Amino acid sequence: MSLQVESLLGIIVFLPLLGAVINGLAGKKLGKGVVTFVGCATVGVAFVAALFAWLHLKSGQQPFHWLAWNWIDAGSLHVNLEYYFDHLSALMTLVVTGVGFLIHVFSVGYMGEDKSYYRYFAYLNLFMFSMLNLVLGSNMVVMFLGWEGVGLCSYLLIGFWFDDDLKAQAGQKAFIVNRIGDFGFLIGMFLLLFYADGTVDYLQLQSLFSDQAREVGTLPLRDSLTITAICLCLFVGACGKSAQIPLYVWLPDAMAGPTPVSALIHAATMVTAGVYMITRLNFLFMLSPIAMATIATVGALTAIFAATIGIVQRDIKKVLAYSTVSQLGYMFLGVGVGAFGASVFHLMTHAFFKALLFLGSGAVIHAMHGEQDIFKMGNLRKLLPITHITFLIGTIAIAGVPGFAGFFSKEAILHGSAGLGLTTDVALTGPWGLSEYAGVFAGWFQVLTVVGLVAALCTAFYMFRLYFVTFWTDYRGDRHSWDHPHKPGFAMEIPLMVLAVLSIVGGYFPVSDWLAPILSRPAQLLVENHDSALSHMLMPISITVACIGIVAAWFLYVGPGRRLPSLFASRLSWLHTVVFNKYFVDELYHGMIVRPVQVVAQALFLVVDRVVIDGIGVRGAPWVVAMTGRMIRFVQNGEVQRYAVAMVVGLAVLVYFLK
Amino acid sequence: MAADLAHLSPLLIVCCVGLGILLLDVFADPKQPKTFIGYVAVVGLLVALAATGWLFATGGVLLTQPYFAVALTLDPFALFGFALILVVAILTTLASVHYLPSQRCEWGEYYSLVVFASLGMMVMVAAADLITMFVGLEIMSVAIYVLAGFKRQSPFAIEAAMKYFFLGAFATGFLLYGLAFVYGATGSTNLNVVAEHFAKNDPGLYGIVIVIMMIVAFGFKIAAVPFHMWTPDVYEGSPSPIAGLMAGGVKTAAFLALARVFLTAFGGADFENLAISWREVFYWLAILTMTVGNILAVVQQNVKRMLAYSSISHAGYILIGIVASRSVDGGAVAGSGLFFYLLAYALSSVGAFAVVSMLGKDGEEDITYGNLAGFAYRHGFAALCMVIFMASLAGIPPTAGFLGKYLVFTDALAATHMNLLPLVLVAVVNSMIGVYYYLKVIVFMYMREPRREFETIRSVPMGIAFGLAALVVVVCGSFPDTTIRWSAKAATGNPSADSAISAASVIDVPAPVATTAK
Repeated sequence: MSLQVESLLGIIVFLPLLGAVINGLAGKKLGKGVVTFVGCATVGVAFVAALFAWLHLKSGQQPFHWLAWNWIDAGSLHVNLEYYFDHLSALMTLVVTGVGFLIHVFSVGYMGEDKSYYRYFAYLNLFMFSMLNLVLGSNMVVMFLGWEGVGLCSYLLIGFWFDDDLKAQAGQKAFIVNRIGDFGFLIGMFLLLFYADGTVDYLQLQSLFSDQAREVGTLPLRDSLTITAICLCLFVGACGKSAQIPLYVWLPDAMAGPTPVSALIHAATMVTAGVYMITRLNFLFMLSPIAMATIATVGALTAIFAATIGIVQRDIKKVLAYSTVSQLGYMFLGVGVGAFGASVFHLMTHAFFKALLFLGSGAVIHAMHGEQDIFKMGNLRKLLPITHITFLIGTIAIAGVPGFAGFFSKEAILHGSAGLGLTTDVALTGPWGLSEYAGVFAGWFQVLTVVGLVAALCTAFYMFRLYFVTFWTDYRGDRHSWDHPHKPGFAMEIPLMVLAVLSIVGGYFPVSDWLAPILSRPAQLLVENHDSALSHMLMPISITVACIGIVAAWFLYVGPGRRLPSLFASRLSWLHTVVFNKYFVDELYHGMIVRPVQVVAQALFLVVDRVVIDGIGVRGAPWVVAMTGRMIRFVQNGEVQRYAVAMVVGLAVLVYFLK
Repeated sequence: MAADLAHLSPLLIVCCVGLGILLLDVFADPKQPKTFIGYVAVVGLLVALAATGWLFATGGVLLTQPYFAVALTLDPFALFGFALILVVAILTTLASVHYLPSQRCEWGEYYSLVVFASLGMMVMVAAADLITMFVGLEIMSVAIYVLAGFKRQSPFAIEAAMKYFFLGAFATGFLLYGLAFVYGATGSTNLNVVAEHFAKNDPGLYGIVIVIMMIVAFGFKIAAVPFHMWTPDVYEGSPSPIAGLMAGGVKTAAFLALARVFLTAFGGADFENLAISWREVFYWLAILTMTVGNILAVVQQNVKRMLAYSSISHAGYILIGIVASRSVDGGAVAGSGLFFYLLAYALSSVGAFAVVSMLGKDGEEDITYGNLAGFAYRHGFAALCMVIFMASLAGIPPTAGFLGKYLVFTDALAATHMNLLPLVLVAVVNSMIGVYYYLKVIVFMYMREPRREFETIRSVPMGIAFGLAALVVVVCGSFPDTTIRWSAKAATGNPSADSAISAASVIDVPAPVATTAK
């Protein structure tokens, strides 16, 4: 039995790779039916395998490993291509393969007419393989392999329609910004490797950094400064991959890719890699209060910052993109306050409802012949009834209406943040005292909680604005699209319905309890010591906030206040311009980083390329060759003797030195 | 006796293959193409490779008959060399079968010369006696002299062969002179006996003369500066696959023979106490060789000359491995990095020359960078393989060349007998210079429009040759485990130390078997 269960991991990870290889190499000749089958079935079977593995784990069995390959075994460095299935990776695998499978099915309808259909599925399967490496790998190196792999696939899929220059550029932007993050991640990883003496395996790392090790003083890192540096470097990597300030700029542009890709990579799976990584290494991050506070702060700021931008966007996918950035901010707020379970919970529910919303927007865009401006839509509930209902469910879920998935998970994060803020007398021990952690930052975490609540208000508002403007009011687009919409087929509607159901019931899955075994003791203590009185106060507030947002959206876009938004926009045009243009961050980066780099590159081109290489190298080399040629002609007969003379001179020098 | 013959099978098979295909050529229809002879040679060499693999798996063998045992050592060190030489010979042959007709020099003896050259190299790396080594060296050299001038209608080829021959003869003179001094000083040419003698007696002036002579002779074969000047001319004039054999095979054999001679016979403490030990000489030679090779490679316009200078600079890196090696108990204990590096370097260069072989046409070769322009658009696979070889030679991961450099440099930094940090720093700077001209090849292949039509040879066996080499280079670079283990085995599992033939048993050669069998 156990043997079978372990080999399930092999199926989960390598079946998508097989699909990618088949579709990538032979897809052109295979025909659409086979490509569809290979692309979807490999992921579907992986999902079923993941379900079996999960059931095994759920029945109380121990987490298990599967060794694929002894990868590097040199000196003190031992790296295995090994996979590990515990409570955290089980959850991630189910989300990745489950949501991934639904999105594959949706893509069959959405990408049906694309000429590079096979290439699309090959990339998508390759992405699944990389993502599964990321979440299932049992050590840092396999995670990094997946980490780079998803970045590559993301680049390939954003620039999928590379004929369009802008889209190709968006792919490049994503790649370059991610590289900045990856650089931080690599430095963090090497520092960790260095201090942990070549240990890369999570379990070994965990025991190295465990409580016992701390108490008996064998912790590999004696100074909190180094551990903080490692955590912050890793967090830079997380910022790049999970689109946090200041590296979030690539995600809105990444919407240039096909919409199912946005749903899969840029909402449900890849962008949550940072949250996964920090949760996986919770034993490490819990040792550095400064890093944790930084993460929480960046998360909360990103949440509010992106939410305000989302309020004024017109492009349906841009709204969802900023919403994703904002929701990821919540997750980082969660891990930053030590509420790892709540964060992963939100990660899961967000995967459901955000994939649903993206796929819904995909159905809308598909129906509207590629139109993405919500102000050129309207009244679409008449045209797309099923899309409308499912989109509404997704919107309610993200807005935080009680009973739907998003409410529970968002609540859990805010509860964690506020609870930590009020818990000043937790009896925790340790060299850096978690009680100090809570004490020093108590007030600050309360501020962050309030920021989170304001972001929740914005979220409810802009999501319902999106919903009302798209599905209610009057139609404002061109007649042709209205008269001849591309109605979504079953392949597109069934994933929407499944995800809608998940967006409701996903909130009832006890993720925090499920994840308890993977948390280090300090993290567990932190969860146990939350002040429960606060949740009674927090819940009514956040429900009120959600309702205000929804009602305001209705009032301003459907109800009597319909003229007000344009009035605001004209009266406060400076504010609207600033927010609509995303606070000019892109322009700022362009001016401060891209331009200087270009100038330096241009200068280098002029000096190095033109003068050194073209001048001295290209023009100089023929000159050297010509001179050499002349010399050779001059000594044509004597050449061999010359060589022999050189040897004798060498000999003479040797004699001189050896004497 | 029978066991000894079985253990000598790699050498015997190669010898028989060489003779066999020579006969095959005599009886073959002179009007028919000779391609099949090449394939027969490949099959024969593969059998020898299999025999080598079998012996390597058993961990090296001891020859029981004294007349074999004093001449040859079949330790993992030698067997590793056998395998590498055989692989290089196989790839060279595969690259040649369609190259020769297109260069209008398809004569059947080509293949037997390649096989005999390989036999010579194998004898060199397995030699337990300086005379055996010298015989191996000459078997190899004579074959290579002929092969260098094989395109005999081309004046460049004749020039190459003549130069190589004259200078080779010159260098051989130094070797023989050195050998004579060894014999004069110790009364023997057996490496172990020489080592024992020098362990008891101060080498003194003899030591200095011997070391100088040997360094000049080996310096010529490995193309170390300033004994390198023949290299670019000879590589340029030789058939491209033969240039690959010289870079990948001859150099490997010469390096392994050098390592064995210096580490076994002159590895004793007294040689360290000479005015300047040979390690210090190699130290400076390494610096000189890397730097001069690299700088001259940068200015080359002809890809074959560039590869020649690149092979010179690589000789410098490999010398670091030699300097970093220690000899223990008279057995050659080199760092495992040396072996890994040789493997990476040999396969990358033989592969690169196999790709370059494609660029011939009607008896003429003009392999300038310009002719590589746009190569990737017409020969995607060959260009991809070339990228792998260039990356490996430049030392870019995930290729074997990167790990080879890494291992050699680590060996050097871990060495306790000398401070090799400055040497490693020079090597790292040189590696960076090297990236320039290796990348230049890639730039031309992928980023330049072809200037004019140039003919290329389309050949499946040639494709197999560089495809296989590229595969091995990437696999060894990505999954280096097995190769590192083999290298370590070649470095440390040296039974010659265990079987150290006592002086007595060597002097009366027909002594009872019992003295050597353990």
